[in-house]
Amino acid sequence: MESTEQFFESLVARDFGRMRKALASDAQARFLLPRGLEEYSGAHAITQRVESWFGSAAEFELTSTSEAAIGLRQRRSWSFDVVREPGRREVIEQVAFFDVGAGGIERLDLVCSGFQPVPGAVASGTHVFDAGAMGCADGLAQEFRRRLGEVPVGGSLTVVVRDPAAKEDLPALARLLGQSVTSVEAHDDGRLAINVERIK
Amino acid sequence: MNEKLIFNCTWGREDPERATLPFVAANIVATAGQEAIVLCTIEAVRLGTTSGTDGVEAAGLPKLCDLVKQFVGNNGKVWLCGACTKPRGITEEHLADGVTIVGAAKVVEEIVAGAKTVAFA
Repeated sequence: MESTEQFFESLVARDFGRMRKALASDAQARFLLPRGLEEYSGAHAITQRVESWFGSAAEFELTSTSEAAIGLRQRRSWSFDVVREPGRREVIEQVAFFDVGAGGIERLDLVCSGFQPVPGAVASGTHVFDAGAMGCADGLAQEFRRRLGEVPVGGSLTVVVRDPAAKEDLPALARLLGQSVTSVEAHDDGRLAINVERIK
Repeated sequence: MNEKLIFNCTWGREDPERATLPFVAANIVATAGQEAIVLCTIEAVRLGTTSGTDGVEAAGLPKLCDLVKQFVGNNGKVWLCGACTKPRGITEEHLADGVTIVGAAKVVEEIVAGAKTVAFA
């Protein structure tokens, strides 16, 4: 019980060092995410994955939570309002079941809604898609098309990419989709910002 | 008309003959002043790194490192499949001259525009 509370509090505070201590060093986690099942072993790997979701968000606010004991397991759910990209508000909900032993949380099973855009929360004219390290073989095309679909015809989407293949691919992809690449700007840190106008 | 030719290369130093032959053909195209690209996938992506072609030589064929230098000097381009470089830890800083990491959309766009692909080896 104490460990799940510590896990939850450190999540809300995004104190991932403290989160690691709530987990047994050989803890096992299963995350059912929109893209599929992921499994992690060890407190470090588990914490790192959670940090990758929320660590860099500009805004991160708890909107609801619930807890219950289900037999010997602990259930805890949480919802957050998140802003990971300027002008783009998202909500996410996760439900977690914990097995706790003497050394902390031994098993964590978590179901995740994925980051869901809040309708109407996208400020007009500021559509930005930071693709991070996404490249050709891991769904960039699909995600790009989805993000562009959220932009009204006549609007623009700025895609920021870091993967070398994505830098070559994204403009080509936009043109193949019949859209217009209006500018390509290289950042000092090696990222590339590609501005795409949705023309159909 | 788009007269670009794209040569597929899927083998690296584990099979020097298969690794070299696409470059031989592509270099002839480039020498003729036509646009040529060697598209490296799978193990062939290692050929696009600095010193990635060192020591790759098949009997009766030119040394691959000399051939690639000549090919790039003839304005030939080498593209590495981004989905193949990533798991091998190859990034932009490892690339030799004239080499670019690309994705499938870039290749598809060229083909849609009329480029032809050639599989030699």
